[in-house]
Amino acid sequence: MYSLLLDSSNTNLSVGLAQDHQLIDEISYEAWQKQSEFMVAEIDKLLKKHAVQRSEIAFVVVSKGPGSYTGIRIALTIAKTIVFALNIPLYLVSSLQVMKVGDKPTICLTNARSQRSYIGVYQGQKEILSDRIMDNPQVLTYVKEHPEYVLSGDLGYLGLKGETVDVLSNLNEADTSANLCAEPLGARPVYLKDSYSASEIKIIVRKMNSADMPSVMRIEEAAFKNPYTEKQMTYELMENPVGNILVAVVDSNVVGFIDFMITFDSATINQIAVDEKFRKRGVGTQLIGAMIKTCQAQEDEVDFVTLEVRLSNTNAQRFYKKHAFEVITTKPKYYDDGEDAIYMVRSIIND
Amino acid sequence: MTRILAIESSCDETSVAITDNGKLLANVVATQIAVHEKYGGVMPEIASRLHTENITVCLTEALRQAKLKPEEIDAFAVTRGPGLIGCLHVGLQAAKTLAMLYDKPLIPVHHLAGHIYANEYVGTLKFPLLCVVVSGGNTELVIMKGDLDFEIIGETKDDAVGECYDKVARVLGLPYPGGLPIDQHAKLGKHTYDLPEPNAGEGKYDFSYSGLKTSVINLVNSLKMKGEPVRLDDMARSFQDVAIGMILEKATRAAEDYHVKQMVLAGGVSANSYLREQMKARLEGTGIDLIIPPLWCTTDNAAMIAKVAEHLYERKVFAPLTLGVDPNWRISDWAKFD
Repeated sequence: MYSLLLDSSNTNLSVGLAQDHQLIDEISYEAWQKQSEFMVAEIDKLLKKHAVQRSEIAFVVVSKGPGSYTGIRIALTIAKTIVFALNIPLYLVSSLQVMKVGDKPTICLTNARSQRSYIGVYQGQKEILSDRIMDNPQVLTYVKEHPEYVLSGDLGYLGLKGETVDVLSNLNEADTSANLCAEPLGARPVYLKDSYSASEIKIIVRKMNSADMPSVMRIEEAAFKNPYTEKQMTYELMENPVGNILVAVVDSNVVGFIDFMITFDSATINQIAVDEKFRKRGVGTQLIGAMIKTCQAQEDEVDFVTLEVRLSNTNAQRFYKKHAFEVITTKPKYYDDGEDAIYMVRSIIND
Repeated sequence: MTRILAIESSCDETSVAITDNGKLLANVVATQIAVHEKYGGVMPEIASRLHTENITVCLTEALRQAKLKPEEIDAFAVTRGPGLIGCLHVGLQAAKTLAMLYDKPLIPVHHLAGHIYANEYVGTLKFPLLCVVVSGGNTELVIMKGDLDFEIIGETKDDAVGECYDKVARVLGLPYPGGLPIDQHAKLGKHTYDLPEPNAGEGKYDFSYSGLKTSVINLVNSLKMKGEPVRLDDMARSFQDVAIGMILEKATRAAEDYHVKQMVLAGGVSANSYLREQMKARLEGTGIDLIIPPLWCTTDNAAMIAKVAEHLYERKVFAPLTLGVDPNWRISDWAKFD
């Protein structure tokens, strides 16, 4: 009786073959963005090398995420296809749990990009902290507060060192009843960073047109101390040759907008505002994302985005930092009322 | 007896088809249109997720309909490109896994070749032929001098015609996908708005749709600024006349220049009623045969992939298990997949 163990949730491609629960052979190497090409071929190699017939495969264990979106889909699609064809059980295990170190309590971490990490804490089959996404400063605090836990993973991006991980040994002991997938045909990965299904509102971002002006002015006037007049806003929309305004729409109502300029290799955010009722629901994130996409679609490459934000507006500064903007300098008395501006920049290529 | 199982996942339809010596036994399509409607276009990450969820469900259903077991299949075919990369990966893994488990050939298929060969379900291809490939991702004129012999003689320099329909529909407040609603409104309207025909540059048979899209957007905005109503039916008609007119013009010119025996429409936009009627009218009396695909063949499905795979099976065009996807695969490179 054989079992197949698969993981491609991160930069590695790992395939293991176990016979009666003993790991008898394994293939594991760095294959970032190559898993799609090589994973099936590696499984084939292992099966042929040990002369395993398909009827001798008893079950498949695969890591289900969180991790690289494409990576987790590759191993899971292969696993689903095998268990569908052979009508055998499928076991799904957290791709963080397979990073635990022996039976030591382990903080398992992978880079979720945008200054965030996927984190889960495990001791054997016991879950101490369930898988979640965490801002990196918070991760560092958590690590400091738990000196009794070991770290695992490639943690150079956090300035930390993790212990080496034996993913395949961990997968080999993950065929527990808790991990048995009840409906393997419909099995889906765990993405966590799930802005699509998590947010209950459906946000569409599109270019502003003049019919949106009343809604945009209402949001503008509610959001800013010294709002633009409608005349200024109309200039931005209709005449400013380097101006771009995108609006976020929920149920055909405009709930936010971003106004930015693209000049040669850089872009500048003039304003971004979200209707108070729709804050903290991903609208701003969608607007920033759409702006970055617009910048990437320019014929002349846009390399970085700049902005000024009021010194007192710490909420906005936190929002920008979350979106990979960094503080460069303070511009004294930048605003008409004498307040300083924080000058922030991010490069377009970030994740 | 050759039984082929084909998988298509290049965009927003997950599909599995099975043929037995050319006879279609099953063609299961899990469409995602209702999901992408909310966004006014296909969201690649969401599409990839849905393919992953749906793929084995579609496989199970196709085999059930065909009353076959996977070990009774002789070859596994898959769309290798062009398409959305994350989506292509999913179908590829499933096809490779099956080919590996049952030690059967893996056949890599070009998506557009599928749209062209879909016409073999309703007619016989006669060479030389001109294929007009018009869809959400493609606008191409392809000359075929024989089976699997493709030469692209014209293509879009920017947006695809179907993409242009979707974007114009969005500006006009019509649902996604935009093809059908614009077609319906156009039937009720008159060509009253002046939209310049875009210039596609030097290529005699090339297309350009980005300028047309911008013209509609600017016109709608300036009407709104002036407080004038947009006459939806007339705008749809004016747009459709120009968008389809460009295809009619270039396709008939190419058909004459290349002395083709047959013209074949393929791709999602070939469902457009105005394109179908006008092309029929223009080719009448020219001696050029026109094949119009059945509506079920105008959207993405695996039956058309299986049709190409039959030809590839005969020629033993098989791929190794290290096959990768190619989101920009050229149709003339259909035999190159290393």
